[in-house]
Amino acid sequence: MKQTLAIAKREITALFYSPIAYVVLGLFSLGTSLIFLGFFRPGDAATLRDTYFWVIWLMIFLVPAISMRLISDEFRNGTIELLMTAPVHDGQVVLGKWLGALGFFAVLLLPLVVFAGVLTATSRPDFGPILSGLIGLILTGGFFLAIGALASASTQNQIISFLLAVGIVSLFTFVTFFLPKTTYVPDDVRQVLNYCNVNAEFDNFNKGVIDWPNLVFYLSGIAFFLFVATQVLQSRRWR
Amino acid sequence: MSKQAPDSSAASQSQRRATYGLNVTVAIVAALGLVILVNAIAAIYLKQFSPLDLTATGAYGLAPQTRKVLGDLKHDYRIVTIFRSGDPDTAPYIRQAGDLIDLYARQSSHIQVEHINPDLEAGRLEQFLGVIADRYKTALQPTRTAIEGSLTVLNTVSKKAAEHRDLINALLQGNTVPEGKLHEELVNALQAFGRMSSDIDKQDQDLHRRLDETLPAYSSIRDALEQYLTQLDDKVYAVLIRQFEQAVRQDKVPDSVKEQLLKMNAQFGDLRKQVEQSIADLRAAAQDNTRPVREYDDVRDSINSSSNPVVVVGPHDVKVIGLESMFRLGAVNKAKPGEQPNVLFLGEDKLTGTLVSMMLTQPPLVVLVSTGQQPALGPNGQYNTVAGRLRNMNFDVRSWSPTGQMGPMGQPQPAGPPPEPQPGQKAVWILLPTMPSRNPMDMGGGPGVQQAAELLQKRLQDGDGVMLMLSVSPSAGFGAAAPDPAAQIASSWGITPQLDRVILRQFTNPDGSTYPSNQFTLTTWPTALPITKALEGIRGLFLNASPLTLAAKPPAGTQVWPLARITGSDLWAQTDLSAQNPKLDPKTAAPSFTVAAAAERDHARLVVVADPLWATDTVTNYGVLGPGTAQNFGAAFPGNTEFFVNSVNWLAHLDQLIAASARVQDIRRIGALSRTAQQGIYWGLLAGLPLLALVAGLGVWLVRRQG
Repeated sequence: MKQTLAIAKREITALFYSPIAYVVLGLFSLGTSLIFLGFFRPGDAATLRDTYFWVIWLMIFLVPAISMRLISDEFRNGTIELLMTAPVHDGQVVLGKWLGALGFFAVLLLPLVVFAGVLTATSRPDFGPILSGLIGLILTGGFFLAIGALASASTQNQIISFLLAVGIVSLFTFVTFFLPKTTYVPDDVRQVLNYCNVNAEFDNFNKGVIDWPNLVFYLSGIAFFLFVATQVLQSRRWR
Repeated sequence: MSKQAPDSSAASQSQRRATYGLNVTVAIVAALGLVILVNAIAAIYLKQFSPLDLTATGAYGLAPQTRKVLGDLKHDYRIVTIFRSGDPDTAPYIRQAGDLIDLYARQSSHIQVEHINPDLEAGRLEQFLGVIADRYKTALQPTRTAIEGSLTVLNTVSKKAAEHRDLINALLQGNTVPEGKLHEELVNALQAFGRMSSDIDKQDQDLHRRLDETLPAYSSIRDALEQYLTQLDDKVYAVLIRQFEQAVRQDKVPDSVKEQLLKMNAQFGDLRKQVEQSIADLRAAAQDNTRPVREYDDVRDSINSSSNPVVVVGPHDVKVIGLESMFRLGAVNKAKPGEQPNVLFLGEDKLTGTLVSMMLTQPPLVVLVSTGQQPALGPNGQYNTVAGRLRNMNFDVRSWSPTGQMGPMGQPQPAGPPPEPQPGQKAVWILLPTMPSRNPMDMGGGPGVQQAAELLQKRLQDGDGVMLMLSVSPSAGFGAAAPDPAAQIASSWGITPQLDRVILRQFTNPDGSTYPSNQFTLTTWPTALPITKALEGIRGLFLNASPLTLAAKPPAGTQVWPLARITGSDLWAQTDLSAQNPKLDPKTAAPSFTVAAAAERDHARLVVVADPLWATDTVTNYGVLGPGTAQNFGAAFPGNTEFFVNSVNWLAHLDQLIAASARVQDIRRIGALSRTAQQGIYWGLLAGLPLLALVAGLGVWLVRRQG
């Protein structure tokens, strides 16, 4: 665990030392502010539910941008050999990098806390859904980052890593969101697709409800993609 | 040896790769299987554990009553919301209703919820409406066959109209028709047939288009067709046949013309037969008022009339709840000036009530007992609105009079035996009031009152529910030899009606003169029983009500509760019912009068309402835009219908069907903001936040550069 945290610390420090992190933070602030202000008018419901809903869509492209360099950067710089010869397990490397990226992602969500502050100054919001929504966003971010870690472990090209991550994330968002709305999907398949849809899983958190099946979905999904990422990284040793 | 080593090493490496690859693949597939298994278990079994509801009001919990109903479900129910997106004003309400409906699916595996956005998922909506249409296909087949047959006849008429137009044209062109009446009539007929072809084609296209809709409006298509065919029959063919028959009798008309006219008349006769047969078929279809046909019309109308309907599809029937009916404004007068009144959310009550009504395996029998010959239901009846509400809940509503009732055309019909409940069927008997009279010599009631009262007394003893609607009766004050038997029943239950008087309130004009009023609106109701507890804030109206006295010590084993109370200043009970402009009588003045009460003894239940008009269509169908507009624009006194329906539910021991008190919807809103404050927030967020991030990045970059 110590090694994992050390890798996470190194990862998060590297992210914050990189100017691109601040550009991402600035752009994310701008994007979320635009969304928030779209639902911020006197008389509107004092909630961040709509903002959170759209932030999920924003994350489809934002999170792969954070994760694309997680492991592929090590390949590109040749530092992967150092990591692989260091006395750490591949799983620890993947977990540490994922934790570091998650830490950075959590910092990215700071503007949402500012929005909650604005709501408090102008109304009497219900903090329960605001908090559960934030938890849901972090879990969703963690899920997308795990997919990003897998994509990043699969290639040394960051662009391919980004596109691969966006593609897989889209399966859990766009595809499972829009496909059930068509007429040719059988009901049973529709139910499965709905269950696999991240937006639907996040919806309960956004309402202010933390439900066990939703937690299981996120945690098992994160564990699965991190496991596969570890296997892919490990395969470098024998390929 | 040295030659073999690289080959052997390569083969061994390749073998090793294959083995590792297979191992990894198996591990990944196993992990995926495990993830699917864990999620399946979570989706099925973890549902029984309550979720963590972090909302301030615990908005995502269901009432114990709802949980019980959902736990008792034996069949599968499909709840489909057809909510439109895009309107920011309705968005919070749509969201609240959608969230609630999702909770039902979470609570019961018998509930399947689907959300269809008609703006984005037109195909799915069509598919769903197709499923609804298929349910009623068999029941509606006779109507559809009659309509299609009539359209074929219409098509024939159109083709023949063109032929007749040509024939008449040829007659007129041939200059054989003498100038005069016949010539004029033929010119008119020529014009009529010319118009008819295009008119019929237009009608035909329109009716076919309507018939091809997913949920066709069969009743309206049938009526339109019937009307059109009747017009063709009466106004075209009947007239032409008569005119041509007269023409052929005239000597001045040449034989060749007569021959043509007779030929056409024969064709007109054939067409008339076909048209009349079609009309008869359509009328026969209109008489087919079986339950599925009625239900189809209701479902179709409800889906079309609500912009955001919720459709509940059960094993036996389909119900529709409009989103608008799930919300109601709270007491407006409780809101401070400039503040939005509370919006009450009735979604759970509506939805649970709907499910319960669909679960009823043996719906209760409700008998409207009238003591006069005036029918309770139908075109001349006064209780169609409340009966309609009960029928929507699948209740078996009938009317009966011990003296027989007038038929639809006013003809007297002999009295039949009272309806008999099926074994085990719950029954509610409602004694309708005799209309009030101001004649002190009027002994009240009719010849059937005694007979009806005897029946109700017996039914009460058998454990049925009884509602007595009583009317002021001048004779009551004269110590009538035979007091109102219905009032006697009430008295024996500890509820004594004072039918010799009517409650009035005195108002003062600006000039100091006074005038009485017998109209009282109520928005506050006693909360002892669920019947009226659910009515908090709902407006009700009582007219010409008499006071009820509730016994301080009711008969043994009897419990009595007030249900409606008129309160206010300058109230009194007027005993001289013939007075022209009655004045406040201090002797009978009181701050409040009870006008409705309920009682329970053993398992029998009784409701007494001392007002003859409160449940009539005149009041219940009185809309916010005037008489008869309630259905389209909302009832001015919705409390009256709700009071009636809740009372019947209570009397039938279906307490779970009574809507509980509405929940206050907790929508917290952003307060008023000055323009400066708004500008500050806008620029602070749009420019300030990104700028802050960039400044932080610049700071880090500078520090690292210096370091």
